[in-house]
Amino acid sequence: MPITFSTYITQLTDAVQLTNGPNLAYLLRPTSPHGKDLRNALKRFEGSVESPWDEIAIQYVLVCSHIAKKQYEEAFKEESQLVSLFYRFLPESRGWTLPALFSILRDLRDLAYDADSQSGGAKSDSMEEAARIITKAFGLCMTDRTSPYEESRKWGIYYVVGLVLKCYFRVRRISLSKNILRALEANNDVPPLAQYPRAHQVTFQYYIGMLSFLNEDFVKAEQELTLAFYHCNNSARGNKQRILTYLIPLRIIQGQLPSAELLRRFPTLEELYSPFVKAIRSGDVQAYDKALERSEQRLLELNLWLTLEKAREISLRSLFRKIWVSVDKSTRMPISMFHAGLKISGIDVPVEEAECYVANMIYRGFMRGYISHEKQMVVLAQTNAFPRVADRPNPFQTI
Amino acid sequence: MSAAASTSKDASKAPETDKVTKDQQHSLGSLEEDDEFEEFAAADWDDSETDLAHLGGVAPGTGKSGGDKLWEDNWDDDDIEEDFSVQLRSELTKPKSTDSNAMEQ
Repeated sequence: MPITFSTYITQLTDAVQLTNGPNLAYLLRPTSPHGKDLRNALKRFEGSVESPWDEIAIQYVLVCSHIAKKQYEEAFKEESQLVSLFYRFLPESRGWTLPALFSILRDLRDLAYDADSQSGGAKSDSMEEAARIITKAFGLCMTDRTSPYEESRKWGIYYVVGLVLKCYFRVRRISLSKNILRALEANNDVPPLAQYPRAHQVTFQYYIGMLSFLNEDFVKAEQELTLAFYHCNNSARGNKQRILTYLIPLRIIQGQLPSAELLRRFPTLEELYSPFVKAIRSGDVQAYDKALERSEQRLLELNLWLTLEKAREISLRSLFRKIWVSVDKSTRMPISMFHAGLKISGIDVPVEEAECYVANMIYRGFMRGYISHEKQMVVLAQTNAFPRVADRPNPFQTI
Repeated sequence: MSAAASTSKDASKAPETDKVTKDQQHSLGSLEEDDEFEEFAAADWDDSETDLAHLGGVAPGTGKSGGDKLWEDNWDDDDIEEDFSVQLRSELTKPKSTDSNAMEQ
């Protein structure tokens, strides 16, 4: 009678309990007759359903057993196998498989994260491997040339791209995301982004916005993050806050200050940004500098310090405007006036430097007029001497 | 005592507790560099569930003057604190201390 798996396990433990060495050796020997029985027992499943589902089922059990033992590196490897098997099936299927595809890819990424964390330190091998495996799904979605439009695997493209970007951001290998974005651009038969589910759109826009920000393409960063923010579901507060963290400084530079109403909805951002906003409104450059100093560490970690340092000139512009208003918007203002205004605001600089600040303000389009250096006089435009900051043509040009 | 008891109770269902703390941090609004963009609970939603809802068709991000109340693009203020003007005037009429220093040198 062929031996079953459960009998085999019982025999094993019996041998151990009876400290029966030879029997244990016999049980573990591949050439023993029960080996064939056991192999056949598993084989029974192996062709019992259509390929690759038999193997996927086995992989699934392996993944679960490793997770139960907290062996994440092994679990990641088995999940990679499972995904590869799924990829064999994918080309023959239509878009109905996408929820399953998304789910196993998400699990793959999560396991990669656990595997890297478990191996300790700064290792990111599993996450990079996960990104490479997920990238293959991009090709498999892209090459659907037979399904009807509605049922195409192409509806998986943006989700997959978002997931790949998420992997590379996690391990800070941001430059690696160029490949998949290039591949995406090179394909002109991808449905328009606006037709994808909002979750896919917003995730994609967020990452493109962040990539543009890090590559110092601030115009694009602002556009993408604005779209991401407005299309993001209000209940996804963490994501909205994440978007706003970068969107607020970019919009401040454009002369669009976050309203009190907006900040109130995000207390952490209110705490971080309201000192800057207040200092800009009141032209209190000293308070602005204090805010920069106070949040320096945090802003550096978020890669935002330079952006806020750049926005400092807007509070300087407010101070100059305040000086101008306090002398009844005169069109002729001695440099000494700006010098004195700076001084009472706690910025004690030589007159030459004050003149230099004024020159800079004019050059950057914050003030309209010219300086008569000989007469130490600033001559301001009759109308619109201080245009609204929001009206400046290329706010990011001088960053 | 009760605090300790509740801690041990929480520990018994560790994974869930972790999640809850993480979410709480979000609602409190932690801001960390590693804090990543989260998976959305639903794949799709309507305008009414987003900040597009209050725009009434205006382009997002136009600022208050364009109909978007989340941003203020018109924040110049002509009401200067009396104090500032007074200080500015007195500063201008002050004998220039820095200049006299320069002359002494």
